[in-house]
Amino acid sequence: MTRLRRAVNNVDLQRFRFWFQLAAFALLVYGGYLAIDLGNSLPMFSCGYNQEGRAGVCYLLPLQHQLARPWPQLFGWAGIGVLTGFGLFLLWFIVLNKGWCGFMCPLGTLQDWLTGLRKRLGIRYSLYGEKSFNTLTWVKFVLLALMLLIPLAIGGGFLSHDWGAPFCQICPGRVVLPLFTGDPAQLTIDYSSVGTMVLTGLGMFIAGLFLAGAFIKKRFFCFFCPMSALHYLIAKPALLKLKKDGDKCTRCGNCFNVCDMEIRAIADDLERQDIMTDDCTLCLKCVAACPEPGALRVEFARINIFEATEEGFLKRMNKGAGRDGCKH
Amino acid sequence: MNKAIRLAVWLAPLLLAGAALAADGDPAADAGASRPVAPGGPPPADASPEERRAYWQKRAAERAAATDPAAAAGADHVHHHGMVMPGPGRGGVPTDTAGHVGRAATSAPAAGQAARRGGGSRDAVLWLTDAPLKREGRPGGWSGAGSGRPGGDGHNHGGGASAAGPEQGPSKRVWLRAGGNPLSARPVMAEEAALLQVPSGAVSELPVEAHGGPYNVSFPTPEEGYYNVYLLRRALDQDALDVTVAKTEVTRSGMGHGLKRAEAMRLAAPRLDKRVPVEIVRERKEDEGLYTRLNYGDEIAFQVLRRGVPVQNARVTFSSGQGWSNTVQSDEDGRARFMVIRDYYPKEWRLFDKRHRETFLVSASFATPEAGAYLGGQYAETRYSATLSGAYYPGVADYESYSDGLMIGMAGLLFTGSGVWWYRRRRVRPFQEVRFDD
Repeated sequence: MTRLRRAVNNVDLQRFRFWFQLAAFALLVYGGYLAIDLGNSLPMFSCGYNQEGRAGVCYLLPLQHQLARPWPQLFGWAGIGVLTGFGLFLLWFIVLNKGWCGFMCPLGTLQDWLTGLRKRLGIRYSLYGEKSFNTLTWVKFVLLALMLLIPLAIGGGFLSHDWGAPFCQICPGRVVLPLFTGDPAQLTIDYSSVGTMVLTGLGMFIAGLFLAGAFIKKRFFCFFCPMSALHYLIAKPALLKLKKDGDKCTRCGNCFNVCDMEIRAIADDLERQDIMTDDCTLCLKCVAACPEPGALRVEFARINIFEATEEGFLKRMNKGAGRDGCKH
Repeated sequence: MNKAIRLAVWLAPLLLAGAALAADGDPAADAGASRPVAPGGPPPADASPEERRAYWQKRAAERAAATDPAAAAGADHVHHHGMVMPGPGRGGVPTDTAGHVGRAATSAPAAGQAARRGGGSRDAVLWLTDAPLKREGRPGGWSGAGSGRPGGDGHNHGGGASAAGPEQGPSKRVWLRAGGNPLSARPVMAEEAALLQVPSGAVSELPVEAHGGPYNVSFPTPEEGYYNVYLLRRALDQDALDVTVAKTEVTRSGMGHGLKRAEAMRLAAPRLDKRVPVEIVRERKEDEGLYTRLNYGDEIAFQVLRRGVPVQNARVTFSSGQGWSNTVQSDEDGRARFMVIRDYYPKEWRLFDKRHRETFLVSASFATPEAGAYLGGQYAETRYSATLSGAYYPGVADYESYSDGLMIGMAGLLFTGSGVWWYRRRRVRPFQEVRFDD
């Protein structure tokens, strides 16, 4: 048992994560060809517009459609369907918490690949200033609110159905992910109404912005992702947790340096034990880069499954772990 | 104090107007009052399903009488001249000596009958459709807001459940029309029971609802897939037997989310019933699933079958929703091909509806030297006519643009890229040597 724990703590997380993400990407983007169907309540961007290859559908798509039902239905019998969908989403989510973002989300993986490409090209990345960070971090909550309110306004008769699934229309996943199965159908502007024209135009612009942004800023889109905001709001009962022991932390800043999301609290906050913030993607790079034994650890159902150790840190350092945080 | 009085004087009318509006919009305020229903308006919101049905039946009868007194009179005529009613208790489907499913009639006009006698008049073509007659304005197309998808309940993620709630379950209704031009075809009355073939292939009889309005039947659609509805009619015309089959295919499908492509294609595959004497089958598009629409520019093929066997040289006419028609003869495989033309041109862009539904009608007729006896009369030939209706919609090419999409995407890419480049360039400070004077 001790040997197993030691092996896990010494794992080359970067390599493990790369293969895990690759497998998840293949499963969620091409799994449909193998008749895999994980339902339509998945807590990450397994895009429903990838009609051929998807192995499941991102929960935000059915949620927006359900909320756009006429109010008498939504607040009547159809509400049961909404609650059932949310219950399934919650069940999926509870298992991995925000690990869905760091390990499973195809759009997140794509951003990591773009980051890899940038590093190979030797182009430096960008960081937000602290003030910008603190302002922009609210964008995802605003998007989440709009994503819920616009469909509700449709159901109430205040907006046309052409504004349906508003977030999906502007999500870069809708444009980019179907391309991996050779489907370019989402690369269009829909002129059938003002609503669809605005949303699809915005969607294409944001897709361009996403590709350029993800190239120079690590996990560029995750910072604005309403799914990430939704995750944070319901993260309390999740089984996978990121824990910090402030007494063991020396504030060396390694964790902040490797964090793709530039979360300062991971280094600065010595009080909170449950250190996962709204921007965190639970990529666990911080744990891998921490040299202080037990300062950062990952728990699953209160069982310690991965923690920072000196040996693991040195082993990973010798293999180059954390280099991306320092050089590029 | 003066200010307060002036404010009160200003606010009083506003408050009174608000109170009046609130009273108008308050359903509770109306609850005790009688609810006069405006002509053409919906039934009361709190009406029971039975009351709603009675209301709509009454409205349908009034409409039929008002818009087409001749049809109403004709229907009465048919009724009074002895349409042979179904078997005991409207139960089983009458079967002739050859075991063919059929319905006896002595005086009802058949689809092909008038066409021959009248030298090509298509007024008497009978067909079934799931598109209700448009009550106001142009009678051709339909906005797809609620009924755009054939069989779909709008954009429905609830698995096709009806708007009335899960307890009622999804259902469909089809109407009978007469006339070869979908634009001007009129609802007609009839009393024959329709035959329903559900996706599993089972066939049952659908009794026409007993009311005085235009012919329509409704049926539950619990399964995903195509439901074929047939109306069969036989009539002796001097020395010929006229056999008419009106058919429509309706689907109950959501948007296809959750339905795998192979499954959707399997469910969308055409089915036929060899017991039906004559039938038109629409061949499916490549990769057509339940949620695939027919669009402008599509070439669609129809096969004319007599008891499952292709019929060569049948006269097949395709009529678009706006009345354009084309007639060809079926080839050796019984096939006739048509291009779905674009016939939807709204006056302004903002009026364009991508879910705009038009109904097409395909009719086929041919005669065979089959002789025999029917209801005591002899005939020397048999004249078959069949109809099939369906829906088509604008194609994505009518309202989507790849070039504009790519242009805007590139603009986003260049905007971000050049913005970052410019920002970084601005922050580069030229080297300046700093000397300290000790």
